[in-house]
Amino acid sequence: MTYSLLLYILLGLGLVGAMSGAVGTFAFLKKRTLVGDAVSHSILPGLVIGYLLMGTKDPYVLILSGTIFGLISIRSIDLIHQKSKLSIDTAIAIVTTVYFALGSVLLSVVAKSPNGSQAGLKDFLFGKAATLTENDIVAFAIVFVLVIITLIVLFKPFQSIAFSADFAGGQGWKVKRFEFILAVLTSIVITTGLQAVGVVLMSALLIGPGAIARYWTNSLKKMLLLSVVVGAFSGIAGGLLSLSKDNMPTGPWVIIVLFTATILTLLFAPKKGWLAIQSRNRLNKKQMAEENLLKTIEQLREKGNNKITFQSILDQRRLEAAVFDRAFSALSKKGMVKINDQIISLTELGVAEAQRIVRLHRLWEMYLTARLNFKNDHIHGTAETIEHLITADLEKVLMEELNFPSEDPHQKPIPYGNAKQ
Amino acid sequence: MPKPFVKAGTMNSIKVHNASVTYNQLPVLWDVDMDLPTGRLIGIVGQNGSGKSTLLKAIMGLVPLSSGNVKIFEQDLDTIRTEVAYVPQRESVDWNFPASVQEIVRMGRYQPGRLFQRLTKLDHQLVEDALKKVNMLSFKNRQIGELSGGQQQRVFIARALAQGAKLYLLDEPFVGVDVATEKAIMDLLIEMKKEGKTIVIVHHDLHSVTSLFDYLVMLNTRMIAHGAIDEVLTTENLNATFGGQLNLFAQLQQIIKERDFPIREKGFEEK
Repeated sequence: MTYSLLLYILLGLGLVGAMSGAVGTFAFLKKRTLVGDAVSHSILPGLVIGYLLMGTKDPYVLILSGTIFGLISIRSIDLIHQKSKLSIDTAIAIVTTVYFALGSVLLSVVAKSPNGSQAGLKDFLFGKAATLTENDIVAFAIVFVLVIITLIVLFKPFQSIAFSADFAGGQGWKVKRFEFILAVLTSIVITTGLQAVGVVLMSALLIGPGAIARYWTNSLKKMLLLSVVVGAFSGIAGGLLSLSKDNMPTGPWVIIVLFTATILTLLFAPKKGWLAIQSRNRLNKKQMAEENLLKTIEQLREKGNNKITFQSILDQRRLEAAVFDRAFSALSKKGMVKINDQIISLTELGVAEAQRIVRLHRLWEMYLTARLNFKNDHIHGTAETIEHLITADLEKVLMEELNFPSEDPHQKPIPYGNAKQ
Repeated sequence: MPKPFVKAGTMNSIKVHNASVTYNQLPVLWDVDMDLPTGRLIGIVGQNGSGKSTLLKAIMGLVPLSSGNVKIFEQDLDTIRTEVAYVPQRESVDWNFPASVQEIVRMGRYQPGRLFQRLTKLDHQLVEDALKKVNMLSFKNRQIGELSGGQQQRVFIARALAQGAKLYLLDEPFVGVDVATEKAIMDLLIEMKKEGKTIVIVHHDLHSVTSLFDYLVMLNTRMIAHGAIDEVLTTENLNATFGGQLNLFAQLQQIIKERDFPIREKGFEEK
């Protein structure tokens, strides 16, 4: 294979990935992820019929005949769903399998015809980038430009409708018309993409990039852009891998790249990624351990114990040794606790913070009994959690709402320190 | 296109003539007929499934009518669309949608007639004003999914305000909303009424109707009554609205559904 052809093919795969990412973003947001699968399977008979009628694998003929079948399949799903009492999943399953069966039958007819072996239509199942021609790549580029321009020009209605069809319809947007345009775009993109990655895996390329992008951004415009980049990258990287040895299908490699990107996203995405969740949990645990330690020392002080040792703390509250150690050294670094000859004491800063925790605990217990009608013996457990969560603003509201009570429901004093000002 | 002429107080805000709507062949609104005044706070009440939300959707052209017609300020909805703002139920949208508060309110300034135009300075000003009115300006860059129920509802109302309409249709704006938000929304709506706007609210809680509204529509698939609140809020009307469906009526409803029968014969759709 010549170098320039290789470049062409990679460009084509990049274009397919990019346009799938762009259109797929809307399918993903409208939770119509299975429709892509239905459409890609249903396009198969369209491609074969297009080939049978015109006797050529010309990309424009195939895109046209495939798109028509894509639209027919979407319409079929809606009709089956509306006219029968079958659920949308069932309708999608019926359309997917029936049209795919029809396509497979037609494909076997073509294979038996004299020039069947050259037709290469089989490659539509898993895609084979190596068979793409220059003509195909030009067609991809044209479709890509068409799709991107449409999405930019019609961004406002597409965004409005994806958020809420009722809202958009109420404003006078012709929801059905724009949904049809989106269905046309989806069908065109799927038909085009089939030639590169195949029927079976096209829907993954449609939905994957959008799903990944959603994890990384909260803005639709950025999501679209990122989805285009992820799609293009998957196409190119998958293409390179599949072309590295003879006779390897493209589609599976593209999807493996995409899957790898999904795993990385699930691990590292901000806020919703595994790593972010872990670090959040760690911070929560750290905060709880430190605050519980301070609170325990304060409780001992309240009892008049002025020789507080590690042992007396552990007698008051069971804490894991490692957790205890870490919390203690963190608190001494913050200048809240001191240790002198095995006697532990709180600094001025430590006293204020410890009293804050005790105060929040007891205020919350007051709130539960006074405002929410909890019984006295049902309040301690939840207060153990809530004491770590009440912000300064909420604390102020709580104190004012309860009018600065001096005791909690168990007649323990509520320490205010400087909090009343 | 010249702006349609709308004068407050002199005409009906909404005129519904014999409107019927069916879902899966079951009539959920049956021959509803009403004229609503302008410049009032109008409540639509009825029990679950009485067709309240459907009536709003029918007025907005979001569900097809099986019979009858709707006029807004005595014109077709499409000619007067910019004068009407619709706020669907808060639960009806996906709050995980990637958008900030500001972006949602900006959508209120999108108009089909201005598809190719960028939002102007005036548009951005109106968005800002709307956010200020619902006290959400400081949240404008916040992700919508991170908002509380009350804040989400205020964003919805800001979006409608940004449209700068004369008629507002709100579907259950007080559901899942904190007390402070409910009060804030109500104050805002009263303020809007004073400016001559007409506000129609679908409401499910009978307790608060007298304090909220000055005009009431009582619905139970069919129209029970509509009029000034002190005139229509009678025991008889309340029983008809919140009591079960009349037996004969319910049976016919079911027969229409089972036999898949059209609610109007051909040629009588508009009657």
